[in-house]
Amino acid sequence: MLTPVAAHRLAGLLIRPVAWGAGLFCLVGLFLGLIEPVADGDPAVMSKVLLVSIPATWVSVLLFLTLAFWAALGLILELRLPYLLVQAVAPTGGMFTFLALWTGAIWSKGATGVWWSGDARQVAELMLLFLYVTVVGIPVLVSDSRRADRMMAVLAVFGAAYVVLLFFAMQWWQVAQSDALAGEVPPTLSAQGGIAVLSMTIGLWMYATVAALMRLRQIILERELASWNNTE
Amino acid sequence: MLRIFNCILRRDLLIAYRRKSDVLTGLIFFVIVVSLFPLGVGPEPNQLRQMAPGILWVAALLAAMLSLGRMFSFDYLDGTLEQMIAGAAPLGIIVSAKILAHWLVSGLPLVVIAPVLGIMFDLPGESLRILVISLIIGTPVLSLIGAVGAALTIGVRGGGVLISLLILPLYVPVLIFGAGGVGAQASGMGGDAHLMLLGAFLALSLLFAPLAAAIGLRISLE
Repeated sequence: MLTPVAAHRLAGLLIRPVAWGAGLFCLVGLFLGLIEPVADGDPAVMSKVLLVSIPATWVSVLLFLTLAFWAALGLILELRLPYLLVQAVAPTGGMFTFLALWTGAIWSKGATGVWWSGDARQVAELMLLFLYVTVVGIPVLVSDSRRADRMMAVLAVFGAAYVVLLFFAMQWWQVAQSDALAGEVPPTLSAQGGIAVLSMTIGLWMYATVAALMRLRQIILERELASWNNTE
Repeated sequence: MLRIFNCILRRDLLIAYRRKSDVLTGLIFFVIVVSLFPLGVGPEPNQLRQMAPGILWVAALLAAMLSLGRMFSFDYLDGTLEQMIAGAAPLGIIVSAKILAHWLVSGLPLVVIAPVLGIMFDLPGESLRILVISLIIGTPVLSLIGAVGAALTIGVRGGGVLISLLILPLYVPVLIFGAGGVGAQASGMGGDAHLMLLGAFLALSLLFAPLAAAIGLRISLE
């Protein structure tokens, strides 16, 4: 495992190429997606929202799973770097969850006529948002950074298992009740739309990586400086 | 091991018995919150009947959250918790006993009072039955998950807010399936599926929550 100093340099080297990749994939995705309807039978405006909504949802969930992975690694191996990564990824994940929530609400309004249809995806995203807010809020509320790290890590691991469980439980519940409720019908993507969404997902994931790496460098500087000067 | 469990259980129940005010606070809060709703939304019986499961469950959630601070804080303040962690007894057993004591003192009274309050909402007998069953299965889950949050936030400055932030997302599935079960029963679909899912949550949290709470305790007191 890297020392924070080495991680700082590695992150610095990675930022530029990954950022270019992010821009490329996003541009390709937007171009493919905007010239034609993304989903079958959807009015043109609504289907464009899917270009952001679906990738943002995937990225937010993947980021939380990454968060939980690094948290578990930190708890098991007792190293400094995984905890720093947890703190670096969390705000980005929160932003993507927020984005996924309101773009999902816009799509929901177009497809079912209400902003909040309470289906598995929306509820899971809302819970994910609360979990992210908590993970981001812990270092703010708890002044002892060592204890804050471990609290975030335990919450991340516990929360990830819980959200996965919640999502599948709710999906099962909604399939079981789908004849009684007018639930949200998941969109069917056209072939070109599928490629566009995939491209956007990769692009947004790369953007999230860049943001996390930049934040990681900042966190390393702040916390390592604090420990050198004994001002923690 | 069973002796340790019984010992801690009896000790916590005895302490709760001597501090009745803490226990009654949660119960009175529950009753007041639930009673305020009919006053707020008006007395129309159909509306009240539909909202009742959700209101009762949310109030139970909030009352459970209020009482969580009591679980570990007294032992932490006089040093007993450190002795428990440093001792030879398995921390998971001790935590399980504390959680059971907490549920018996904070959760079970809610279950007993809930049908009485349900009458205020004009819930039919069948709905009351499902409500009580869902609360019996769900309130231990609230205590179990709450124990993890309480363990992590011992002695933290912004403790109340932090516990709420930590615990509420994890409480939501219990709320959805608990209240949803009663609603499903009322609309004729049968609440069995919801209750079974609640049971699954109970089984999983019985397995993992004491472990996670023990880890949280070690983290908080290291």
